[in-house]
Amino acid sequence: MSQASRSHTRFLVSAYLLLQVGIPAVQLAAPDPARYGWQMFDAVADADFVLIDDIGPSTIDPRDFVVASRGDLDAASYLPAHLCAVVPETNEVRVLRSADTIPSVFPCAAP
Amino acid sequence: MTGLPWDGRIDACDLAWARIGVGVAALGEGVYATLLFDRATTPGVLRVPVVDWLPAPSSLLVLIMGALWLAAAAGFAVGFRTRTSGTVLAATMAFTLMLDLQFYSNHLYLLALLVVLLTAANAGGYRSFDSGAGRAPHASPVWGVFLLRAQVSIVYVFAALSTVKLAYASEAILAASFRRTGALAIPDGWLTPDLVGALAAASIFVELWLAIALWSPRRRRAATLVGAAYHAALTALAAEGLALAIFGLAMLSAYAAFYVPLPLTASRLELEEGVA
Repeated sequence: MSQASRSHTRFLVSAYLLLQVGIPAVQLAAPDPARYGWQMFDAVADADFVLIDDIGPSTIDPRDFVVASRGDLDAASYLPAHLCAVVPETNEVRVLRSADTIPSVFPCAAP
Repeated sequence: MTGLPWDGRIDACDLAWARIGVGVAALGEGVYATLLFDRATTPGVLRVPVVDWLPAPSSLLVLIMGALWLAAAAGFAVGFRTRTSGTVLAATMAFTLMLDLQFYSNHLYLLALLVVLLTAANAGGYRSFDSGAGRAPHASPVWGVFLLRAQVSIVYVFAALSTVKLAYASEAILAASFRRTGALAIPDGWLTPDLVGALAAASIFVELWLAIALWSPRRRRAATLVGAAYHAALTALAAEGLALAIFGLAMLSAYAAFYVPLPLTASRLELEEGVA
């Protein structure tokens, strides 16, 4: 095997190890639960979603609108804009996370 | 990184067990992924693509992805055109991870990495259709086997470190990770902070010990038994039992890399080649 090929192998092995140690190390400092960090425990954070339209409030089950509930994907960040888009007549979405006492309000833009 | 002859090749027949186990785990994950793909085609369901230019999941895409995944996983498990099936399987898994953030899981990511490493390490050389047909060389690169071992230890070390962090930050998340329904459910009253803390501490200790002990020829058998018991317990007690069963099968299969004896030095390898 040539010297160039040996160097190439060492570079690839080093790069792989650097990525596989570096990414989880960085993710240790990220908010829980972080992806690519090998965190075994990632319970889904509870949040209540209430849609407000001209008639009044209605509570929805967020699981009806996602592919899968994941702890590492904060539905409260992604779902309000989607709910505004797919549930007709919605004026705003209120999200109450289990850790909060005051709901976050996401007004829907006028169509 | 100077003690190993990185470019050397070794007879790694035990890697076949890793290939078979990872292939079976990939088949199980493929069935689950196909259900997720199908769910993603439901009107009104959220899409969170990693990059916007990727196609939205459609019925045709679900069919193609599911068929490719399952065929490649089966081919990989039995060692049929192992390099091709491994490459197709890894590419399908990578594409899945890119298609939507909701498709991510630790076990899918782990499986993708193990399939890449086993394909690169020529894990189809033994106990495979390829070896039966005389298509596959028996030797594996030293670096491939080393990276498989390193990957197992990296997963355990960071799983332990993230549990340390979580135990300090939110014991509630740890408590909520336990199974709450079914015959193996832990009654609410039992999950006291003390018990959750003790289980977290035990999990941290076991993972750190496994990360080190698997490298020791003297402790390897004990580590394999402890690892099997640990993953069985996780599967039984955790809320995400099925996902952790796939994760455990993938990890335990990768232990096979520790049973492939690595040459310590280049001079020793040369000596062995000279004797042969």
